[in-house]
Amino acid sequence: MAVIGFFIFTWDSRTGTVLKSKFPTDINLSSDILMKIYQAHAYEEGGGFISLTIGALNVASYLIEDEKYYFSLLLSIEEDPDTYEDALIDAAKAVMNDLYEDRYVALLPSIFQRISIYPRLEYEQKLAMIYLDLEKRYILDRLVDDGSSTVTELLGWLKDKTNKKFIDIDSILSSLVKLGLVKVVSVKGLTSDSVFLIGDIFITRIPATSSIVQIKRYNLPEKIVNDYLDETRSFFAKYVPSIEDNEIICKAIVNPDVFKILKVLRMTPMTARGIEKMKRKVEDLNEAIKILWNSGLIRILKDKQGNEYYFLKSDIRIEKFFPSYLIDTIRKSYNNQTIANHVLIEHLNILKEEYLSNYHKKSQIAYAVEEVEFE
Amino acid sequence: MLREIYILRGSEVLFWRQYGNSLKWEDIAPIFLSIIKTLENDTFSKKDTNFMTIGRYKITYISFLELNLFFFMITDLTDNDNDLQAQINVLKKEFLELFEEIIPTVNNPEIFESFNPIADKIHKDLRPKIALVGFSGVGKTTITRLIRAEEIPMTHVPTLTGEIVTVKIGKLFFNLWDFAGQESFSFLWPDFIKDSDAVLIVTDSQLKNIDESKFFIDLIKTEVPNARCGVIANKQDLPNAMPPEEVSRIFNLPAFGMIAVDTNNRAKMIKIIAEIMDISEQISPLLKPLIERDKEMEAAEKSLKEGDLLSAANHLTAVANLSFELGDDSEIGTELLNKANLLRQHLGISTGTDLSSSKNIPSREEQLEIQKIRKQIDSIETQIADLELQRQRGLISEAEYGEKTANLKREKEELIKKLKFQ
Repeated sequence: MAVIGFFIFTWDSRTGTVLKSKFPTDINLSSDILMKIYQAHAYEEGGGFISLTIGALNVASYLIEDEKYYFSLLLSIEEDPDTYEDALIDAAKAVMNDLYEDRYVALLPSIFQRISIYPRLEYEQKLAMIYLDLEKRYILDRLVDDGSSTVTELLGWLKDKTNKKFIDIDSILSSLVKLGLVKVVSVKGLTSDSVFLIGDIFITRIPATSSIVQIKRYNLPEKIVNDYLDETRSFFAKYVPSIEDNEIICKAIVNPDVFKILKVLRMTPMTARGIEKMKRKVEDLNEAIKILWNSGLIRILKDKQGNEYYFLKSDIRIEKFFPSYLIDTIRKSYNNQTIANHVLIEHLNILKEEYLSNYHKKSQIAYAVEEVEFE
Repeated sequence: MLREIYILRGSEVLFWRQYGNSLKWEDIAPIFLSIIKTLENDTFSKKDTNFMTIGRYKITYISFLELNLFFFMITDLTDNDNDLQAQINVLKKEFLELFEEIIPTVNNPEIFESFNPIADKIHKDLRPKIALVGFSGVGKTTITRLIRAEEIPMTHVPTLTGEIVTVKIGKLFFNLWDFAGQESFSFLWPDFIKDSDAVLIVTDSQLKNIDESKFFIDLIKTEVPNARCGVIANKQDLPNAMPPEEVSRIFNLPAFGMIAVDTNNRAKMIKIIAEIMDISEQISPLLKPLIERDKEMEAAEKSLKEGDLLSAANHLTAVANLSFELGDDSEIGTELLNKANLLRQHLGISTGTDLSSSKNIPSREEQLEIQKIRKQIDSIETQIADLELQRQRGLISEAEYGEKTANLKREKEELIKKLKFQ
């Protein structure tokens, strides 16, 4: 097993490490393991994420310095602890909110499950997780409006907005940096680092085009095909993207079972028998189908013989895009003098660099592919 | 460390329990009366926990005016106010739960002796801490093993990070912190030393190490200025070992000579810790015979000097008996008994008559068996305390703790039965 266990401990100056909780409850944790993690954090000074090896195990650990709480993951030796950083920090945040009432204990199995699958999440799932994290979304929304901000300013603003005493701004920004959404740089003349938006998240439902194309290749009953196409048409005729709906589809997609089924349905509709076969690939098929249904992602149609067919009612597109609108935002900031000129210039340079290295080449390739296809 | 608990009804002491030397009653009584007077008149502090510092002691107190009850805990300054507040509330709550109904009518304070186990638990829950500091290889882990009567390592295996174990001194339990002494771990030392009730600086008694170890004095002054301190001048068997008197002069702290690899020094080491912690001999059954033995030895030497050979023989016999009782190397006891007999023979007194009349000494085999059983009981008590520490640290579940302690308690009862039979 890649992730052996998740545990939380604290430090007591009279008794040393004190284990608060662990999951699974039968994992064997010695005082020595906890002391070594404590020591590794102490060596780093201050809170934050560290990774280390203890004997034949790898450990990923995150310390919330102000509270002196340690959130740690015990991993098998072949597992890279650094890939769990964001998941572990998210777990720590989730636990901290309920720490003192001990309500978090009930959350541990689901937290453990989420952490375990994190390194294997696909990019669109990771973007969905960012979108579902309120603090991260607040930061992105603010940067969409202003383009940039200093870290100190963001922290103060976020504390006011969320009414939270503790916010680990460095960890939040670190996960946004990793997904290429922001860049944190030191700008001359500013005491705090600056955060620049370099990517935005686009979320929408789209028709399952590949699946629709495939339908025509199968010998499906005509009525079923027509019913499905009519329903899809009528759904998208009325569909208006909204934050609430985005949250519904993001919640669905971060579930690994749902995502596995969704990926198959994107390519082709499935019979009830085909869906049953998915049992071998997913942990809880019924739950996944329920989520897909409740999120308005699938449609189940029956033919005259009572055979069931599973169709993708709507597909999901979650992707990062280049925020070209920021050019106008920067222009406005320049005219209104709300942000210092040299900061705006720095942002423009960063955007240019980002565009040329990550978007320009892609658009050139896309253009070339389109030309080939046209010929 | 919790030193004393007093529960008063007005000026009458209902309950008193002592864990260490503290303020004398004649000094503390007027303070209590003044506090009681204040509490009776001050509407604000009646329900709250209050603190007062007297010299090197801290008094924590709380009242229950409905029954004119006043609860006092005398501790060291190193104890944390939050912990004290929690524990004095436990003291009050538990006492009222047990005795609230009978207090108005009770005349015999002996009835409150049944509260002793709860008071002992409060002492334990305040988690007194002793830290062993010193550079690598001076014998900190060996001292820990010596106190816990564990096998002494003959090769040096450096301690990485640190180890926290329970040690038993008399009937009291302490958390003993054994640090990694390598300089590469020095970043951990301030954290490890924090909140210690006592700090023992361990040296190997060599000039170079003693000189370097002065570093710890500054660390103690910064991190735990109120902790009790002492120096263990270990490895006194090595050539060029500096005598403890000289070490004491250099550190300006009490210093004690020690050879920690010698298992016969366990009682001596416990006595050193008790002395540094200022634990009263009356409350530690293990300390009493140690101190008595020292007194008997002094008296024997004095009698010899004065030429009172009969008295010297009697004192030497007493020393031998106490050595047997303490479980020290029984060869010493036998040798002292032989010497006492020689003196008596010299005086023309029948050794057989005298020996049997001076004591009912069990046979050597019986002595060894009793000694073995006592060690086993001691080890079981330490194991139970260890399990308690592991439970506090979340390393074992309540169920596992319950099952293991129940087994150990059963084992202990069996041994006590055997001891009574012996």
